[in-house]
Amino acid sequence: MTAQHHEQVREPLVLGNPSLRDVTARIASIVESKISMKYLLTLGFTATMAGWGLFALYYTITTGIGVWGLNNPIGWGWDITNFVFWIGIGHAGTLISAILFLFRQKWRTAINRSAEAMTIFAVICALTMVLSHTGRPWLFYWLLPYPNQMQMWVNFRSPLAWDVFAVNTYFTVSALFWFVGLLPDLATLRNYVKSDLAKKIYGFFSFGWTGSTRSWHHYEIAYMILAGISTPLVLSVHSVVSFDFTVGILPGWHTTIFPPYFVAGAIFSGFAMVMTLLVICREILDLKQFITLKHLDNMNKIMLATGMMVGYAYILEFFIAWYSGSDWESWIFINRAFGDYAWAYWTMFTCNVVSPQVFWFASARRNIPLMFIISIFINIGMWFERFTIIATTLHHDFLPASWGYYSPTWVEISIFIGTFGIFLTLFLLFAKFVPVIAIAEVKSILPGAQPAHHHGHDHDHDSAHAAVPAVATEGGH
Amino acid sequence: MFSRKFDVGFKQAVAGIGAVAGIVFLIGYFGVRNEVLDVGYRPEQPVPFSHKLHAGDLQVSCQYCHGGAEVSAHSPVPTTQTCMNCHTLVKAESPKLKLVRESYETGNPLEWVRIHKVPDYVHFNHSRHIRAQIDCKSCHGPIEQMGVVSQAKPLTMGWCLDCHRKPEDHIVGARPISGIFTGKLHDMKHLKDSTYMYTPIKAQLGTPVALTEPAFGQWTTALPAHQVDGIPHPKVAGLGPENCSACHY
Amino acid sequence: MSKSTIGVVGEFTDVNALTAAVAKVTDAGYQRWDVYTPYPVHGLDKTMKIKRSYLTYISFAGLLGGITTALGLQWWTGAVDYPLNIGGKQLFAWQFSVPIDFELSILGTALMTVMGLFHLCRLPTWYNKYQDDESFKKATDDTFVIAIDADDDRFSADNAQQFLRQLGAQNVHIVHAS
Repeated sequence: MTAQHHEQVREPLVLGNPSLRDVTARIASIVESKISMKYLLTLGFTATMAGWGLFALYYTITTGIGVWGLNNPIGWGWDITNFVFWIGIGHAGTLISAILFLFRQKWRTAINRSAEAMTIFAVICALTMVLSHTGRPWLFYWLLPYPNQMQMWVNFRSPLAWDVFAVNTYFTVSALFWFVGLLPDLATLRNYVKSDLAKKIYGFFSFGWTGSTRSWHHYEIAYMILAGISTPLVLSVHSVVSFDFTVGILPGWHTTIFPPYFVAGAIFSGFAMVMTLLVICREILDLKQFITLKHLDNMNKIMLATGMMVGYAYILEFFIAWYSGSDWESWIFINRAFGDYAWAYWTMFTCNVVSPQVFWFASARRNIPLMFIISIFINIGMWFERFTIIATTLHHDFLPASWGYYSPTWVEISIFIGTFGIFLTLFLLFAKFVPVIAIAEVKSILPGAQPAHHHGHDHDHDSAHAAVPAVATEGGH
Repeated sequence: MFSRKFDVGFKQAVAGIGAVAGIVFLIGYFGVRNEVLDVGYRPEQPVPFSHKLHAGDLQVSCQYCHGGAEVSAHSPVPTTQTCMNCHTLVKAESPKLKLVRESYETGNPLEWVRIHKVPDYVHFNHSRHIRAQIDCKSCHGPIEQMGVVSQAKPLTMGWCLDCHRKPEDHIVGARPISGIFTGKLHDMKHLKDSTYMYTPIKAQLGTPVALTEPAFGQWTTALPAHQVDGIPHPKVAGLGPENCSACHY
Repeated sequence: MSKSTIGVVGEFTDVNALTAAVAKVTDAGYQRWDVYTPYPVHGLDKTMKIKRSYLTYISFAGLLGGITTALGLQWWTGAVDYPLNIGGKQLFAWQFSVPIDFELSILGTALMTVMGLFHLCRLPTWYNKYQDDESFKKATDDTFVIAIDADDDRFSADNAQQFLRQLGAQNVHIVHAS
């Protein structure tokens, strides 16, 4: 690697100047390594969490949601809090894979695969929550418009129906996007791994991808289209989730700021979760070469920015509540900050608005223990944001006689722990058996991986560069 | 990768499984529904009572046994006493009526098997429909021709709605056999002294209170579909209501 | 059955040499050939003079299908099939239909894009005639492989091999059917 002078201006995206083979070998070594006792114990732990949650879910489904702490004014509690929380977590993946792709942010290549995986797993958790809160999840198909003997249709005038479409579309498109991204990497593993069984499995799921240029030609267009449509999609999903609240006329919910505020919060929480898991991943799987401090630095900047957006929204909500002149609106916000749930409100505010402020300092943005702790704070804060929004508005409704207070039962807490179990179990399986780094994409951004100029016959403007001798940068062979 | 044989074979297998799944789905979707499973439900009753004989040949009005349907939500199943009004004299020794006589003596009711049933969350009100002069046959089929009664209609929500939307296509107008009043109540003075007339109705007889419902036939022709603020309004439209709370309350 | 020839392959490790070679192969007039690379090499498709993919039209059809379905569904179920007064809201209005119009357009586009991609790339195909060739296997790892198929009209095993060697390809060899 000699001809890197033009790359020196920016920090390299991949450290150690690996060759193409090095990239393949590094990722394949994760897949091929023997399953360690440590991994099995961790998996056992998370699977136990998942199992415990599934037991609580079983208890809920067989008994009814009366086993939850919901009561009359508070019809939504941890169920919807967790749903919005998990949907939010999912947003970072699509943001990284789609929006950063469109903005040609090459640093995304190291983290997009795992972030997209988190999206899918988080949406699975969200769907678990939202289906179980219907009370009779085996009738889930009633949420869909299908011709039935009742001659009934879904009420398309309700935001809850929009939500069904938004979340399912989001899940489907994210999964497709993820799978399309995986195809070349599965093919790489198919041809690289030694075990016959692994060859068969990767061979099956790679669908016979060959790396043919004629295929890459379609593939790049497909990837661009998927990124292009995922970008408005990711913005729409949490907007539609926020409609669940804003279309209702309850003070504290009926707010025009909700869609952008929810989207910013979702990206904020999603990045925090990606950060939490990536910091662990890059240590355990030894991916420091690919997930560099530059990546973490960039993510911290995004967290700082989105954290300020939600902070702005928190403060603006109070201003608008006062400015509206509506007694109910003003009161519900005073109650939010100083009422029964003040503890939740101030936890949220401290975690989400105050804690990310340390990322103004470059040294903090590159301090791994610190960013790990802050990311956990943000996870907690963003969960409390959803809880605050739901509980403070519902617990004091228009009828003072019915005012109440909501606390979860052990069942709700168990289900929430269970969703973490499901999420972490799926992520662990993913990290072990699926290429955690987008191999083909990382290869394509290695220095010297792309031709110094295009030899296309229609590239007249390239003729000036054609005089420059081709730079041989393929190291390691 | 795999052999060519696997490639072709696997795709054929997927196509085959897909086709089978599609067929299973179609059978399930069109086969497992009330129109197929419930229509024709024809359980064996403890006593071989023939509606064909009683209502068809002997012309006993529906309301002789199921009286009360015109004033209450439910259409009652007759008590043994109703049977014995006649059967103390007619066919008093018939072996087929052994259970009826036992029931009459012991006071334990006969355990008829229920055929027509809608879910608990559906409130079907018989009197409401009878006062609209809708014949029993509209929902129960030609009972007077059935030796053993079977369910003739699916009793699904969609089936209800079909009729609420276009009654003229489905309703059988009141026939004499059903004993449904086809006139106004105050025209029924001659029934005022009838022994078998229900007291609540009798109280209304002869009083010049017109029923609010238009007579059958006026339902859709006389009253044009009406809209309030651009939305069809069931109450004004003269149709059966289509709002949820009409039946689910 | 004697071993029939599938094609001739040659390896490259330098992307610039590859691009130059690909231009030459294109100019030589071969029709049935391909370049297998571990990642998309910029401009290679243009160098190969591959016709622009019509995948975008398939995707656009998906978008139109999605939005038509969404509008049709919401209008027909709400205003035609079962007009139900819900809180005095309009039976159909484009305003409230926007979220679902949008979501189904996206869904339709995504599904058609992926199905179109699979169709155009002939995926899934779990068999490839080159699959046992070592060079071909390396093409998903760190090697660029030019493969000229035997069923090309201009194909002659000797000429193709010589041609690829001239272009700087390494390990040029004939691939036989196994």
